[in-house]
Amino acid sequence: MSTSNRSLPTPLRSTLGDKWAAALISGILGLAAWWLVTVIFPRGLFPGPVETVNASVELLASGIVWTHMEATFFRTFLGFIGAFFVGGALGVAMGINNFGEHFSTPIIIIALSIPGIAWAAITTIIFGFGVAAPVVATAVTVFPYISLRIWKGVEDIDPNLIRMSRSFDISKARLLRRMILPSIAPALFTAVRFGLAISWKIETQAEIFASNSGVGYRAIEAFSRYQYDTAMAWAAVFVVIVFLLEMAVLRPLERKVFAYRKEADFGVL
Amino acid sequence: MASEVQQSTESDDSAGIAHGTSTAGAIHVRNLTKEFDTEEGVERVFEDVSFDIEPGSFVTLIGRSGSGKSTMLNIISGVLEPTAGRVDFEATQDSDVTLGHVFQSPRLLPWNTCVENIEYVHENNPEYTRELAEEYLDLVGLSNHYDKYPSQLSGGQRQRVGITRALSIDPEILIMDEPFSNLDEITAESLREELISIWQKLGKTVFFVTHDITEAIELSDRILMLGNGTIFDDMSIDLERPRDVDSEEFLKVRQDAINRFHSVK
Ligand SMILES: Nc1ncnc2c1ncn2[C@@H]1O[C@H](COP(=O)(O)OP(=O)(O)OP(=O)(O)O)[C@@H](O)[C@H]1O
Ligand SMILES: [Mg+2]
Repeated sequence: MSTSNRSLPTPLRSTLGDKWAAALISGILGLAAWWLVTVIFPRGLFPGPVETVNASVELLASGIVWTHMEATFFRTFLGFIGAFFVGGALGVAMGINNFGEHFSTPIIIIALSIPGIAWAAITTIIFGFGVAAPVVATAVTVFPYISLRIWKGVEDIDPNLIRMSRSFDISKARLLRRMILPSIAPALFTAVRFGLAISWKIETQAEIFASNSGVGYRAIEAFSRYQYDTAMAWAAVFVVIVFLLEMAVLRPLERKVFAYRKEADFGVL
Repeated sequence: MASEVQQSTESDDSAGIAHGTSTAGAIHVRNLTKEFDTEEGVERVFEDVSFDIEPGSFVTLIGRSGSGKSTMLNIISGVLEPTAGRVDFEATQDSDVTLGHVFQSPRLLPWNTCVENIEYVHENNPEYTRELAEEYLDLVGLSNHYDKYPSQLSGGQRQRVGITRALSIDPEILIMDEPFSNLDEITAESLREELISIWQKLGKTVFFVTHDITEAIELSDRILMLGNGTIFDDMSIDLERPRDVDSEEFLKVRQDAINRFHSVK
């Protein structure tokens, strides 16, 4: 069985209590490092955690956050969806046949080597200011990562389970839902998680060139006015929201989909 | 099902499988040839092979590794197309014959429980209920494991789920490809005994593949020996059941089988 050896021996896995403690310690260490940097480096220019929190509160109170946040989220999401469909289709093609693999490989290698910032410039030249430029820049930068992940996921499907299904005359629809989707679910989750994370970075970069709204645009604007704490606050507010998305949506969903592993004491989550 | 694999139906027997009285579950293999196109050219696995399998009988195909046993089973189950020749079945009702396939490894869906794994193959069975799955799991001694995942079972228990899954569709023909060869001998032996008792109870045709001569003699009414691209021997085993592998008659038959098997290089 392909999944039977994935778990670590129990003594190496942490208990639930340890998990929270570990997360807390890493968070505190991160904040401490940030604070240390602001102390060591020049003269109060770089805003520390406290200044950032204060600026964030101000930002939230002013209400201006939401329109820009919405713009950035919307475009990140559109770019990600585009990347997901294009990347997913190429990944599936690579996974299921040789033609697909040889067709997609050069596209992906080339696409991987082009920096997101270059795409942002190119799409701005093509589409001008507006929604299209950052969305397309995000989609074309992110799709190769998704392709690679889905490709590996599709390649890992156990051909013996497909043969078994065929010998029991299972329909294509049932095969897809009961056999293919669960086997590529881990790859799908990784693709979504990394895809969204990269999308958001590319989107905010692209906004610098290609937009006059959004979190990235406002952060760079604040930066150019020497309002460093506000620039940091824009980033911080977004980080919190992405974190909540992970905890409130992705994690619970993942826990549900992989319940069978947990029950089987796989301990991968 | 492969296009060359034909169905014929048995319309005078509509009340399920009747022991010994019908020809439902018979398999007729006619002039079967199988070639694979490989990089070194055409590889012929076997040529012009014909045999018939009586309904309700337990027939075993033995042969060395690479002799084409799995290929033969895959052609019979419709997973592979023959290069030439055909396979005919006789079914109980006016429908396709049903085949239950048991594989060398159990091939269970790891994300589904035992019951769900059985439910998976009942796509076109409106009468499927959870009770049916449970009943079949009871049959192989898995009453306490309905809702366990494959990773929570031992190798032997997983193999039993695989056997149960095949039995649960109430197939006229059960085909089994070295189902016990990955198991330790003690587990394998108890599963063999279970298989024989289920076979005697349900009266299915069983077409079994192994490379273990002792196992073949213990289980079968008849042994077909595959080698050099043909069935070179067809041996009836008339030992009484239950069979004692240490008895003198058994050892005599076994020696005879070994001699016949090794007569062809
Ligand atoms: N898809 C394939 N393409 C090319 N050659 C194949 C293919 N499948 C099987 N063969 C060849 O056909 C021959 C018979 O293979 P098969 O799997 O039927 O053997 P087997 O008798 O079941 O062996 P074993 O006891 O090891 O399982 C082998 O020589 C194998 O290399
Ligand atoms: Mg084989």
